[in-house]
Amino acid sequence: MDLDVEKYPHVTVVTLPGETIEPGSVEELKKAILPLVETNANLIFDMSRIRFIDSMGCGVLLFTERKLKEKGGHLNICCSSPQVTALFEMLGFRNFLGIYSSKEEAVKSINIHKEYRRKR
Amino acid sequence: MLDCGIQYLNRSATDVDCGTGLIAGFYTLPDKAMEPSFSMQFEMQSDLSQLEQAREFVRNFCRCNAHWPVNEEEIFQIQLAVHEAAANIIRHAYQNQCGKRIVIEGACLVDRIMFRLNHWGLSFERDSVPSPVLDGTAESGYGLYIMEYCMDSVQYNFDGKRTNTICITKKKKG
Repeated sequence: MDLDVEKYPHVTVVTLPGETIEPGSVEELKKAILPLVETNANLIFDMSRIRFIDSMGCGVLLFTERKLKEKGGHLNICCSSPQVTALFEMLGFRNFLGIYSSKEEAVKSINIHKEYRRKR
Repeated sequence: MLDCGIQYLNRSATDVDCGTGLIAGFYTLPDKAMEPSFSMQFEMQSDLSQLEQAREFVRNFCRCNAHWPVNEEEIFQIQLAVHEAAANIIRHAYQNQCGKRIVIEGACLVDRIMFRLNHWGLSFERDSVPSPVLDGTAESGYGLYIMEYCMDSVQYNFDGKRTNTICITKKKKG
């Protein structure tokens, strides 16, 4: 699986392909994400094209967040579907993931966070 | 019959075309208080790649509801619940064996939409599955929680003839 990856100063943005994340594609997605998790502290998943995700797909997000957190990093999500955003809220994702409606907001949030930590 | 590998069943002389190319047959529920409405069946194999077709069946069926307009949020929730139920049947009841039957029955009533997922795999004890802790520490175990959150009712039945049924219901708002 080819992922579209953009590098920013403090974060890497990964565009998740297709319109659905479900059992048939989850393992392949996880394999494709793993090298990025190993080489980056902060990631943003651009899910603006995603219209459907199930519990297994959500598991990939949680896996990624856990791996990044182990090394002091963070996962932000950019999601434009109100239904998918509502699912994330249902599962309490806002308590431990940054969820934004645009990629720009998600990048800005990581930069503000980094700046805050540097000043402290 | 649509030419997409999906089998729509329950066609009869009283069938009507409800505007999406699907065929709906009228039937009467035992409870007279529940007005006769339309129902449809969709049969799929225990193959995760067919879940998308099951979701499409749900979407088209919800759009056929003549009693009230089902909005996008409700359609998404029903699709997600049926998807999670069918995925659980494939993974747990049929233990990932392909080629087993799952029959999904949809019924539109005056005040609710119901879907019954029938399968002939291992039965299931709801109480044996704990509720997930929503703190991000677990990467799995959310399927039942999602189904029960999205729908007004989720029932698990075993009829004694080896047919297991998951019945999920969404009531009309207001």
